Amino acid sequence: MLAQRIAGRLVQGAIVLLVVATLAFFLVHLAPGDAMGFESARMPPAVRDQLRHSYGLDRPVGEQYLRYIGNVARGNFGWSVSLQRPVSEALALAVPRTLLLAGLSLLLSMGGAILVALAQVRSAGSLRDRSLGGALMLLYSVPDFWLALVVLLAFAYWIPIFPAGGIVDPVMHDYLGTGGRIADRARHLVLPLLTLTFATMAGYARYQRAALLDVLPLDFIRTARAKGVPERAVVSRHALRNALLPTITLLGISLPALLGGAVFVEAVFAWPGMGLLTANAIGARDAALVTASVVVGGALVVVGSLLADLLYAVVDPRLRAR
Amino acid sequence: MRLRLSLPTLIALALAACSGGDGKGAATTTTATSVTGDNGGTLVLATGGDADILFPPLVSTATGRQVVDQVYDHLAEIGNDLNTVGDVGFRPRLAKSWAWGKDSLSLAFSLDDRARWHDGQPLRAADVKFTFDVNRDPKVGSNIASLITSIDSVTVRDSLTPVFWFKRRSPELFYDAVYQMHILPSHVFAAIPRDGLRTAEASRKPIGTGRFRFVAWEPNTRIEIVADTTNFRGRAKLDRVIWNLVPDPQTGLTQVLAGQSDFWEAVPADAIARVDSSATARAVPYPGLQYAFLGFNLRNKSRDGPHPLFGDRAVRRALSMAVDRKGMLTNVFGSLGQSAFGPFPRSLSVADTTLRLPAYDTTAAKALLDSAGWKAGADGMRSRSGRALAFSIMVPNSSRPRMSYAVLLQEQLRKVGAKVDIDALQFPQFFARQEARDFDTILNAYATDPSPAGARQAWSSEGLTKGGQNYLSYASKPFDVALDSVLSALTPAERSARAHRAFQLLADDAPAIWLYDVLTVAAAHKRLKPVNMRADLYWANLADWSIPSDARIDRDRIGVAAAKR
Repeated sequence: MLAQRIAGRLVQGAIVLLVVATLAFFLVHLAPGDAMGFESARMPPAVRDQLRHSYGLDRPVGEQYLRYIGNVARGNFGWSVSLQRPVSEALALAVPRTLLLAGLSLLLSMGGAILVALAQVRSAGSLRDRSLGGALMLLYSVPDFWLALVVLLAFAYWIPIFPAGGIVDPVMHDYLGTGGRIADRARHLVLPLLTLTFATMAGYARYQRAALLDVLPLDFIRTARAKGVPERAVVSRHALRNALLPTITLLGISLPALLGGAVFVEAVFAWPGMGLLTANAIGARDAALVTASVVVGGALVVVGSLLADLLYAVVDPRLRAR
Repeated sequence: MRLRLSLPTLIALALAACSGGDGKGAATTTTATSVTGDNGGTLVLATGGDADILFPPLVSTATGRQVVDQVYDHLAEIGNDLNTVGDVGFRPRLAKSWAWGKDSLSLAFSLDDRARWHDGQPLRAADVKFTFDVNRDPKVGSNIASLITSIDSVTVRDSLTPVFWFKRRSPELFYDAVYQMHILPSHVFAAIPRDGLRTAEASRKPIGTGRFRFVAWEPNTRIEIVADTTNFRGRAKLDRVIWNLVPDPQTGLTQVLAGQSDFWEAVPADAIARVDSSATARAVPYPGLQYAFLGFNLRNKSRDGPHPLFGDRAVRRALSMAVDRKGMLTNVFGSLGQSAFGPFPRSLSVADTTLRLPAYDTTAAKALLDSAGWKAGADGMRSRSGRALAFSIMVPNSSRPRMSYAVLLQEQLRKVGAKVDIDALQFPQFFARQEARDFDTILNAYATDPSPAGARQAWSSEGLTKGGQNYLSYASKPFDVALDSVLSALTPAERSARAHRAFQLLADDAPAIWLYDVLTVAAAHKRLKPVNMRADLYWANLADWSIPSDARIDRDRIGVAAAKR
């Protein structure tokens, strides 16, 4: 049954990706200007036209679309005009960096959110609950970009304990041993990871708190308490497991949302991942790269949803039986 | 942040580096030393954008240009005064000397026989011929093809003597021959189809003759070059230069202030004081070749007649007189601004600050508009025959100074009865609408070449043709003739006198309000000694920048040995 559901999801995913690729392609082509506008102000129009021809940009949009979809189906995302290299090569460098940042951030923010929510519901309505709620609201209200800049100034300039951006030290990294390289990479990861985690944790924590408060009055919790189960175990073992479903739903759709948030964090911390790649591609009207980035984002939604489905089954035995 | 060099590996590498260079190359005039003495040090340039390509004919990004200028060489190098008449001030580079033909239509260069490519191959006249052919080949799409049209051909007299043949006599033939073209290695590129050079791997891993050798390019992350320790012109003073990609300007500046990077090329005006008070960095002002202006579109939307407002010279002059250029300059740039006087920055050899521009006088501006039939209504806003004196200023929203200027201009023009809207656009839209001439006024900044010939494309009738850059559609026969006379002057003094006449015509016609010269301020680490920051390319003499041995920090002591990757 589960395998059938996964297969169904994959078929749905393929359709979603086709729609996403189509929308992205046409939206990029509707925007004014094209990649050739950036080559050089000095470039004679004849050369500009010749380049448009060699990249196939002078063909009818419909024909360009069909060729593009055909190529994508064969795993060829085309040529990035702005980067002067295959799109797949650019993605191969950027995607792992963003997945590392966004993936770790997702785990940390989810874990942190659950801990904060547990702390809140254990004494719901108390000063601690209200204080944590206020702090979360403050974090939730702060714009990502501003938070990133403040973190950067605070920990890279005023108290310079972490590097101001980059994924590794641009000079010394190659001269370090294996341990040194890992430590260098970790030091560069701290600030963007903290920023992205803080920026997303507040929302998850509020969801988790509400879900826990919904579950705590239910009969099975009362039964557990009547059986003498300690309150800590009641909350963390019985209530939390049942209150995780909405958070798992969020997890499924959060990965692409994190990529959106990562645009700001990647720009401020010079983290050369997908967010930065996509933002630059949009600025340069690099249609192939923008469309490919959107398709990758779409693929992450599909994968995220599938993972959420699998996690439902892990957390809730009733779903496994269906 | 600094990483300490306490790790044994690092010490070993640094010691290994002290023992010498890479062992490649042939003839040398300078002994390489990496850690001691004058030579040594690592420069980390934080840069906002990655390179696009490292093949000189096609490079169009600032970072790409900075790299190819270090790795490749010209035949001769322009002097710091940027004179473009004759060969006055030009210094030998790949050519050790040159001789004109009797009819002044040919120019033979004697290549320096010590010059070697970074792969050890000798430089040959065939490389020069190949370079010219590549740049002129339409299949390549070279950015400089339109700038070397005065050259008819290049031939090879012998292995060290390329000869340039020109189509016509001009005072700038020498400049045309040497300033634009970086000489390319034919043994690297000749086998690659011309229309494949844009995508060739060799276009991303340059092999040049410059005082720095290319090491690595990690896209969207960093580019690294090291001193060519056996270079025929002597090794670069620095061991290593790294372009570190930092897209956010605030982060780039923070990296310099924190000592993580050494140079950020453009500090916002409001951050200069912070840089100057820093313990790590200092502000370094340097000249540029940019000038900014508010240009009036002189043709109507359908391009079949004069613009209903700006087709009238009196309106243009009145609007010019309505704005306090000096006040705006102080407001936006503080003490660092310089007023523009015409289509030239002050660092250009023909710059002229004695031109008579329409003086700031709002009373006279109002009177001029009155006499042109633009009468003020009850609300103070002007109109003529039912048409309001209303227009928009198109400005790229990525430029902070120009956005500030747009607001100031809007307010000042309102005071004389003009209703102005600000059309702030992302650069792609700005560029597309400029190309389509779809604007009322445009707040633009042009970067010129050292030659005043650049003004021809932007301001003379020559730039009115399809693909031309006379976006304002300014057409004046007297100006065209006067500008041509500037370009035919045979001495710098004669050129300046003729330029005065030409640019005064432009000032009187007021196709634009000349706003400011761009004086840029960089943030540099205090241990760094930048020298000879030329107005056209501040990095042109990067190989002579240095870091004194007593001021060096950990990253300066690596030497020129490559890391194991």
